[in-house]
Amino acid sequence: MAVAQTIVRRVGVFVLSLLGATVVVFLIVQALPGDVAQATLGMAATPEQVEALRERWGLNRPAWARYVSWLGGLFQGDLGQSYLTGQSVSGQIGPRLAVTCQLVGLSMPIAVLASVPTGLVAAMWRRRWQGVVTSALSQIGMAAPIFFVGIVLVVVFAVRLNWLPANGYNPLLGPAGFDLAGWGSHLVLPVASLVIVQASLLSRYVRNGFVEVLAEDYLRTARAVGWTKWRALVRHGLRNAALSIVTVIALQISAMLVGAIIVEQVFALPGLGSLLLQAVASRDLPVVRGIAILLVVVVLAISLVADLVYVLIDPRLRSREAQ
Amino acid sequence: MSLLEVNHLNVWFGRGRRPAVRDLSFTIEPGQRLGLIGQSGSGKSVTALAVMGLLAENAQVTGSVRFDGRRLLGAKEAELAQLRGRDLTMVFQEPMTALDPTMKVGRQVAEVIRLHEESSGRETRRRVIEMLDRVGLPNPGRITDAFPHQLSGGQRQRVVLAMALMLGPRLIIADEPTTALDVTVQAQVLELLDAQLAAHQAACLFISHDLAVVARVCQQVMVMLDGAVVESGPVRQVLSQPVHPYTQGLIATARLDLATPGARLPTVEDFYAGGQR
Repeated sequence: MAVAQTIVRRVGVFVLSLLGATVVVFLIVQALPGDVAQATLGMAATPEQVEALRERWGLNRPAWARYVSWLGGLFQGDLGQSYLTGQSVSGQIGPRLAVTCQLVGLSMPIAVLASVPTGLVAAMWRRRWQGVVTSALSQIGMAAPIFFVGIVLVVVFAVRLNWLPANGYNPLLGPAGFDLAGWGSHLVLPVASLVIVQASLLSRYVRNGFVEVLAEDYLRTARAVGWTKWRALVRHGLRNAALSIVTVIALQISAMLVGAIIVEQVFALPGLGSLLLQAVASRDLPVVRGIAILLVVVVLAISLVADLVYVLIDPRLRSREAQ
Repeated sequence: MSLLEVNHLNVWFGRGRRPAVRDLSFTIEPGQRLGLIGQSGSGKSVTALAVMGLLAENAQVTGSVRFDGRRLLGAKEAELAQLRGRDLTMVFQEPMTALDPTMKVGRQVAEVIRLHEESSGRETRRRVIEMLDRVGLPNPGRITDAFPHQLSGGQRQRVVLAMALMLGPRLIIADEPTTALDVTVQAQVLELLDAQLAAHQAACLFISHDLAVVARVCQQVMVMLDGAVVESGPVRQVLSQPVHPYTQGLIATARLDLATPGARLPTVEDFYAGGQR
């Protein structure tokens, strides 16, 4: 089956890319300036103390040996230990990842759901004021830096109106038990900032996707057999426009992980972003590496899923005699 | 009452531009077949799309189009959509792109039925297969489950034709239905269209740049040049005694059997120079 072949090939690409990425991540982190042992002990430490610490962390071993043992650990799900705290890296990343996932996991579906109708309106009515206004709003949303959007939201809804907390994170299952209101109220503004920026951008791509589809002959055929303009676009345009939109969504989920780092700073959320910044600042290389490789896995997994979604949407990719 | 009545139709795209169709008037009686001839850019397709109400949004249209006494120009989209596909159907020039690439052929044909009539799933499928069979598609059961890219151009055009004929329309607008096809397939599709029009007693507005094709299908013909009709009448008469120099040029270029071997072939410009602006 052609579909099975495609899946096998794509999974193969996924594994190879991941292996390549481990080398790149290792080398880049390796090339970061600064001696972690020295940084940890401070400038007052004697050379003997520094040397002893280097020995203990295995920094004296050749780079390839350290790569191999790191890679070996990766396969067993062991990302190593933090230089600073001695805790396991995965133990440190876990709770932070959960916060970032909540942020992205809530924002992306909302952004997608908001961008489809607005993109549709912007495309269908692109020569009328409704479409022009929609397009203009999405341009503004795209152009606004995400930290700025976040700060404006805080000033309006937290400081002026005092409806929502300005920052902080409240776990769903905290010490005080199940706290849906506290959890939700702390996430509204961060999620809203991500959604505003992402929905604006996606809406633009959705609009362009629909404008392209609107010029297609099969849409004219659909109207010639009795679909009204709007229903023809939904019935025969949505699936075709989705082909180009899926690509952008996949890319944007990755971009959103980066956007989340900024949002986490603005709203003081204990997510992956703040952990990464701390780790880089203190040269805690195992943590930096762990987060980097995790992001690589996520990005590769998303593009794998996107490729499989194409095959589901477009029958031309399913058959051998594809043109 | 005429089936289709077009009066003083003008179409132009954008202000200040030359109109694509100028002061066009014609009628089609029930069951009548009218050919519309002209070179590309003469306004044939624009006329067809204006009648269907499928012109692009930036088109400005004046005049009147009546179908069976009902005004089409200025009618609501929902009202037009009810007519389209049932009483008034269209076959397009380019079969390769006329079908939705992501939907099975059978479902696309079935949509025509579902849009206009109550029909059970099983009954719909039976009618789809029957129609695909009637337009000469081999193994219609397999074709319903195929996607457009799995069919040849000729097969796709037969599918489009099946969609246009499905509900026994009273007027079919065929816009260069055979131009994109191989010569042998062209002849088959024309024969099929001819037979199906006769079987349904459907009227047809047949658009082509090919005199021979029009002569085969139609009784009446209009010759269009730069958005206006320059000559019209029964096909025989127009072909044997063309009045307008442009028509004379068209006929001369089509009659290669009359050309002197070794001499330069005639062009339309030998007869009529006004077309080139």
